[in-house]
Parts: sequence; C-alpha cells; structure tokens
Amino acid sequence: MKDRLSKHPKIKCNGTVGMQEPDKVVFEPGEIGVVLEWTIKRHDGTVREHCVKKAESYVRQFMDLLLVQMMGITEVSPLQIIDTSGAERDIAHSSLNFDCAAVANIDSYGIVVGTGFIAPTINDYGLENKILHGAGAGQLQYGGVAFGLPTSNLNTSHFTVTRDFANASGATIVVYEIGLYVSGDMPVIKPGTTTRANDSYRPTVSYFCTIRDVILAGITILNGETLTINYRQQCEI
Amino acid sequence: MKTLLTLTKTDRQGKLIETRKQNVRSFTKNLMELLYIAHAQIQSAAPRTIYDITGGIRHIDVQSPVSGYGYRRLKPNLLIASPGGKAQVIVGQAYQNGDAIFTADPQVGMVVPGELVGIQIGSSNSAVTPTDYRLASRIPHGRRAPVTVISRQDANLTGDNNNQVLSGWYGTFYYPFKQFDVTSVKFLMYRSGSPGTITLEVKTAIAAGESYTILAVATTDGNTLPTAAPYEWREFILPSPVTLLPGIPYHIWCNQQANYAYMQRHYYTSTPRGYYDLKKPRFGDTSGSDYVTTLIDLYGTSPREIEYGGCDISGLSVSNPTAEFEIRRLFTNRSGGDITVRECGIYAAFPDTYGSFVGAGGALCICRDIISPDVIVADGETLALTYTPQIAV
Repeated sequence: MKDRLSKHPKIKCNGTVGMQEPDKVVFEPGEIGVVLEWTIKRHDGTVREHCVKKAESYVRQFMDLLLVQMMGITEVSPLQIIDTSGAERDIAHSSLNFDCAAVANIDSYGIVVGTGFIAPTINDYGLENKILHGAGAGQLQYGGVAFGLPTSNLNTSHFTVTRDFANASGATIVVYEIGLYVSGDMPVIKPGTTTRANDSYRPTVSYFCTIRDVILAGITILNGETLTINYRQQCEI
Repeated sequence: MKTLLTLTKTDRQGKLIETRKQNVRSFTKNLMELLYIAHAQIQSAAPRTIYDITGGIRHIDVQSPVSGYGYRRLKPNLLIASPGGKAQVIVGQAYQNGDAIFTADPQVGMVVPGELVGIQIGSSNSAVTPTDYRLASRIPHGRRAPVTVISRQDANLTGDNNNQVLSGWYGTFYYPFKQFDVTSVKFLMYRSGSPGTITLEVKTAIAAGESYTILAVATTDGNTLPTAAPYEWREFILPSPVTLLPGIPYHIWCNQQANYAYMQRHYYTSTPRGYYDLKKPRFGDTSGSDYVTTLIDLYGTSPREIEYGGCDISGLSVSNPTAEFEIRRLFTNRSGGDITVRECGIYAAFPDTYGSFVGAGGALCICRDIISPDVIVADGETLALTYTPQIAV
C-alpha cells in the first residue's frame, strides 16, 4: 500500500473563499438599465476599491418625467410629480426636464449619495438620508457632474453620468445609498392670465429622484479619499 | 426597464382574431442620445449629430432661443404622442419672440404629420442594430394599394416659359404628399451651349447650421439636350430608390459642368400672376423665392398603405415594486388587400435647432423591433400595437 502511494504524484490544492463578481454586467435583450460603478482613490490617486454592478432601481419619477416628455404634457394642465422634498410639483414638457448637469458644490441634483439603507421601493422620491456638500463632519465635497458621450457597439448603446465625492471631513464616511436627482420644469401661471410668471423669485425647476440604489455592505471612504460614481445608462438589443 | 409589446388583431366588427405578446428587444442608440442630451443639457454650440428618419444628419440640442422672459423652455425632443394620419403634430419651441411667455401660444417649432410620430410598422425583417435610424421598410399611412411598377408618383408639369440657368445648384424644394420610393426624376430642360455632365442630387432639407445629407446622385449628358422648344423632360435615374416621407422637405436639384443648361420653371409674377395662382404649394424652388416653382416629374413605386390612428399614451400606473405606462396605436387596413407586418418601432419628434428658426425639425427612431412570426392584416382588419415600458426595483 505504501509503495503504491509513493508512486503517485502528490496533488495539492490551495483554495480561497470570497465573493465572485461576474466579469460583466448582464442585461436582457431589450432592457434599458443602469450600470453602477464606483471607485475609491486614495489621496495619492491610487485606486483602493473598484466595483461594478447592475443598478436595480429606477424609481417612478423616471417614468413620470419620461411620460411628460413623450406625451408633451402641456403647461396649462401639467402632471403632478413628487419632488425630492416630498412635495407635489406641477411639471410640463420642457427642455429642462432630466437635467442633472450640476456644477461642483451643488448637492441638490446630479448624482447624490447618502447614509440610508432601507431597501428601495418604486415610490421612493429621494434618498433616505442625503449626505450634504461640505467639509464638515459627515459631509462630502460634491464635484461637478460630468458625462460620457453616447456610444454603441453591435448590441449595446449607452452614456455615462459621473461625479466625484471628496472626503475632507476629517473622519471616515460610509455611503449606503446612491441616487440620481434630475430637474423638472414647473410652469407657474400668473393668475387671471395665460402668462408664465416664472422669474428669479419663482424658480422654474424642482428636483426629482429617478434612480435610488442601496449598497448594504456600504462604501467606506476614508478621510482624504475620493469616491467616483458612474451611472451608465444603457440599452441592449 | 423592460418593455412588453402586445399585438392585437381585430376584424371589422371588433371581434378579436389574434393577440400576441413579445418582449421588446431593440431600443436604439437614438434613445440613449436623447436621454443624454436631456441629462447633460446639450446646448446648440456643440449639438449632437444624429441621423433622423430621412437619413439626414441633424443637430439635436435642448437649447430654446430665449426671449426677454426666458423661462419657458419648450423643446420636447422625446415627443411620441400624436394624432393619426395626416393630422398635424405641433412641436413646440419657445423662440425669440416677446410673446414666448404666453402659455396659450404653442410657439411652433415644427409641424409634422401625425403618422411620422409615435408607433410605426413596416414590412422588413432585416436584423436590428443599435444604430438603426428608421424602419427598414416603413408602411405608410393611407388607403392606397401598392404601386409596384415604376410610374409617376407626383408631378408639377405645367407653367409658363420662364427658365433658370444652372449657373449654380438649382431645383425643387419639395414636400411629398405621400410616402413613395423615387427611382427617377425628370426636369424639363434645354441648353444653349455645351453644358457637359449635369448632376442631380436628392438631399435632405435642413435647419440653419446643419449640413445637407445627400441621399442620391444621378447624372445626364447635358450636351444631348435640345436647344429649342419644346425642350425635353430629361430623366435622371437614381442608382437606388430613395424613400421620400410625407410632409418632410427635400431638395431635388441640379448643377451643370459648364455653360449653359436651363431648367423650366413657373414664375408666379409672370402669367398667371400672383400668389393666388399657386396651385401646388408643396413645390417650390431652392432659392427660397415665394414666386417660383420648378417643373418636375417624379417616378417610382409605393407600398400598400394602412391607416394610422392616433398614438396615445396612458397614465402611469404604480404598484410597488413596478411602475409602467402604455403607448398604443391602431392601424386599420382599408387598402383592399393583405398587409404583412414584420417590423415595428417608435419615432420621436424633435423641433428646430436653436441657431436660426426655420421650422426644420423632424423625427428620430428610438426603437425598432422585428415581429416574428409575421402578422398579416387583411383588408378591413385592425392591428393594435401596445408598448408597455415597465421599471421594477
């Protein structure tokens, strides 16, 4: 028995246990969806963490605004949509709808992050607990929203919305929720007339949540690090 | 977001013949373009260049020319709700006008026939790609039987003896009244010298700041034209048919190699005089003159037609974890024969560009799907197509 064993080669196996990410995000043919990608860079620019996953959560305001634009909903009979504050707003078709091109320091629209971790529902109209812009405790510095141009290959078309969040708060911040806030145009009609009354005192837009994702494991951003989030909206044939 | 396509066929009495459901597979790059343009608020200084349903390259942005009031931003690049057939879709666009503030004023950025906005059907089953910019073989609105033998599709044949020398590009500014595939074009021409090769172009009409897209080029030997009346209806045979869409403007024009070729035209300040004798306003000339129309004779074929109803969109229905709405259109066959439907899609209207208002908007194809197996709609039957986009958390 000993002889037989000694004549056979020894085989060893070293295993590791961990989460396996798919090598690509899979969309079904015909599906329009969002790929969520985040990267954390240390203060020296090196990457500490990178993750790509399929975002799960267009919420109803995306459909509301799509409906407004596709129907050409009129200013004199607008659609009521719930904004990120929970208030119903009258929204009509407009070139301002879906605007998310926020500049740096603005946390009212564009990609936003938060600390809430309640699972998304279709009726979510905002993040549970949005992290504000700033360098104070619990705050992140919001960069400007940037875009990747639309492109396509044999099966897929997509464009990307990107934003940086820099942690200068002096402590670690954990992000659990990510969302996209976009604008919607509110036609204010001057009473007794057919005239629009929007002016600098009566702003023409409000903001609406179109995507909300919860990352249960959290995204930990150490002080001095920068979180970059890409929302890649794509359709597949 | 996933989208379900429901096809329902009913007979003359409204009795259900067939219903079928399939998943929509093919939203195209143009939808991503329009969402991108809206999200990024693309302005006219650097617009996106996109193929519209004519095959022309267009500039698309969200920038509305602003008035002093400036707060009204009508530019519905994603409009797909529309009335049926030849009914007018008014695509709003606030432009430089002190009245831009009045909500009752539609601020028309473009008008287009209802049949070109919303759900479409066609007869080709060629494979779908993300860069498709129109249905491969669109079935147009109407009741006409097909014309399969090349014959006259439209013409403007009579006028006075006015003429235009082709010292530059000159010809017809033309709005087709129906969809057809033009295979050749005739102009009434003559010469006084040896003009050499005369070149004809069929090209898209455009808004300010855009470049024309040439859809077809054909040539003829100008040296063989007659030099005296009654002149000749000279035929330019296109290398392949070009589909002309109803209510969409096109340039069909010529240029000579050398001096001199002439094109016969009708000059309304001649005989008969004045605007009131304008018999065919869909034919103009490419110089932009109010007084001139060129004579032209267009040949080709046309497909069997089906009547396009309105494209309506129902309100959003939300029940956690899903939200959905419906886009629906009826197609009624009154053409006297069967129509085979193999493809469908959605066209979205867009208004004019910002730079200079000329009412030259159009439509973009945002979705194209193959219907398999084919659906045969017999005379008298109605086909309903319903798209149901649905999101789920």
